[in-house]
Amino acid sequence: MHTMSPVRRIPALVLLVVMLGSLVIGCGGNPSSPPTNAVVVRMLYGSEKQAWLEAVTPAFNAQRIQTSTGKPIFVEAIPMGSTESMEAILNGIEEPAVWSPASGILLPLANQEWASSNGGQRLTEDAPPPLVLSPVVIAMWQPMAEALGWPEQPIGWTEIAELAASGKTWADYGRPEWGPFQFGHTHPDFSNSGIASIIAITYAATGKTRGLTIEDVQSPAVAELMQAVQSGVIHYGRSTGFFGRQMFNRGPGYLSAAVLYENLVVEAYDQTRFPNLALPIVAIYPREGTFWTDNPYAILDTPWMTDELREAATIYRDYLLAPEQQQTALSLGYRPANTSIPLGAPLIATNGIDPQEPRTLLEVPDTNVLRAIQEVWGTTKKRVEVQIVVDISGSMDDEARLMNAKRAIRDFIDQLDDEDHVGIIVFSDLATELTPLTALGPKRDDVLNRILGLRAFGGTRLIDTVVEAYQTLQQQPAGERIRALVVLSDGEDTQSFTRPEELQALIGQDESGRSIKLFTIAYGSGGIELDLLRQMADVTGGQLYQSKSDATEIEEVYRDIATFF
Amino acid sequence: MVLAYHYHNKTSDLRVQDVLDPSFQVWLDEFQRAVLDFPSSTGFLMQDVVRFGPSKYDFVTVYENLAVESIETAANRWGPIKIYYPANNILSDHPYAILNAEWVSAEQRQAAAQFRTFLLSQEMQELALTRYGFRPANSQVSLDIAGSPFERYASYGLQRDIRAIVETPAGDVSRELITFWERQNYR
Repeated sequence: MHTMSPVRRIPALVLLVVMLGSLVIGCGGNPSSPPTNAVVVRMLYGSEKQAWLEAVTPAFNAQRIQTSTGKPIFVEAIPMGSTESMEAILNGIEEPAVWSPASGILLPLANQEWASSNGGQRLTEDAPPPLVLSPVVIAMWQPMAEALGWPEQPIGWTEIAELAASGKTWADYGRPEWGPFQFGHTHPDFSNSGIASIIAITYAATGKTRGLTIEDVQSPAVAELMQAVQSGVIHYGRSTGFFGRQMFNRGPGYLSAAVLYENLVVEAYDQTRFPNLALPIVAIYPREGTFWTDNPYAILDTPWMTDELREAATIYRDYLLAPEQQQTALSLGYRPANTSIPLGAPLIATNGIDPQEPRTLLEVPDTNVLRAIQEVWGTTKKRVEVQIVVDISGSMDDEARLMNAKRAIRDFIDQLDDEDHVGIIVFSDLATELTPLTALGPKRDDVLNRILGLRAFGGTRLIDTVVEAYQTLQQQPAGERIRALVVLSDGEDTQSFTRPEELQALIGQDESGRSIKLFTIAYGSGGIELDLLRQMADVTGGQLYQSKSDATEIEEVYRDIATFF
Repeated sequence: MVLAYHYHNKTSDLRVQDVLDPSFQVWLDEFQRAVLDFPSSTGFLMQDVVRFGPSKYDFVTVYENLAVESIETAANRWGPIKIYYPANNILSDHPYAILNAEWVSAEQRQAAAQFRTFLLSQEMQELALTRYGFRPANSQVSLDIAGSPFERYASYGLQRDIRAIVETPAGDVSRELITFWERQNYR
């Protein structure tokens, strides 16, 4: 069974966000450090409110507010995917004072699972207050939405599914330059908007807006609609913000629509961040209903909590809910939870927002129903076609690089499903196909063994190997599967005939969202082709990672890449 | 309670058998199933109305003063709210009970009585009306004084006159209603 449940799948991931924070979702944590004898309030929070918390938390820490015992309070705020932070707390990897996931969707689940392994104790206080609000929306380029008849014709999850399944392209709507319908939502095992997406799709398939049962979820109509929507997905991923940035930077030929939060749509109109926004973007509030991210501020009710810590956490909460901080939230595109703040700019029509929406809300299903929905997604999700390209040049023996990489790649393969297609190409002076691009299931054990047997020698034939691996992926039809190349290299190219510009030209041809994505890993501390690896990732819409040769760090890199599939 | 009186088309003398009436229970059940969640206080409920607007609630039952207090904040988010009064109503009259218990000294009792007099004074009662939207308990204070919300918010449906006020049911009747509600496990 390789489709692992999120509970077992996630534990080791948590460190990654802390370490790779700057890479994955911007700057993590707080630059200044706590004063001695400080009461440190550690908070794990959904990364969708990162912009706001990073705007207001340093000022709080600078004030050195004291508890009643006279100790200064210092807040350590760590952005992390909501599902991910839940698993980290449940698995004992993290012991924060405060947990603020994107929404209350996960609270019943977290409390139930915590209770079952902690003698019935609750994890959080009852009904934690919201900090800021933002609805889950389908962000779409305005002319595309208009081509679908919006705003007269409301759009919902059903229309998205039909569009993805119909085989229609934008040419059918008179706009061939936009290519096929390309869609994105995040990975439900890691991200709140991902889980919101698959719940909403389930509701749409059943025609309900509440009272979802396991029988409903297991009906063929749900699997059918789920699969239809997933067929339009370009890739998954852990961060909703990443999708937003990809869409705003790359334009309508890359992503037609993505499930985002309303505040990210507002962000698209920030010209300092997105000076080249190709077309206006609108927030579509799905007609069947949606969810709010209400960012509950849950002070934990766990054994590691002290009265002092609870007091400090309460003081920080009250600071966040005070009018000044709430006004800052509004200016960043969130709806303030403090009801004394009126809504206004930037939540306005010219930023693609309708403050009178959403009109319908979907009920958060109970734990068992939620698990059933995750299972349906697991069987209908888009499969991947991935070429793993590994540098085995002589320098890979330094710092135990190859040894650490082998373990990480084996772990990466464990994350993939039997139906996924996997090929492995290793290179030094020459390239060798360790296994061709075929279904993983029947060959899984063999592949894992072959990786174990690798040894390092010779030079670095990076570019030519990437070109060849890319070309094998090009032979696979676009859109059926997520096509990706995962390239690890620890040194400068010594052997290739292809020039970097030629490689750029090759991988830069396809600018669509269904293009082959390059995830590149600059590994170790030697002379690495960092710029080249960065360009490969940037040009294709993938991502560059930098990792030193450390067993945990390189494993986390591969795990992060796995969240895209 | 108001729903029970309404169903049985009366304003007094609600009985245990009225609550146990199966057709009433089916009717009440339909009402309750339309509720997404039950905040632990009416104040929280009204805050939620302002935050989430019609996406979460089409209408809610709250105290008149909370509706008054939220008229402007709601208008700043989702547009005007409209206040309706049910045919049968109930007053939340905030009794001030000085306890007749052994831990209350004669001195404390006297102090409590003085505080009550203060709260019922014209000035405090006017403040309760103009700032917080409560109907004064002191009959000297009119709903028409300057700054009264009943003037300002008439167009939102705020009314001076309340229709029938139902009788507070006997303790066992209330208990039966609560037991039925809890048994249905709406939470």
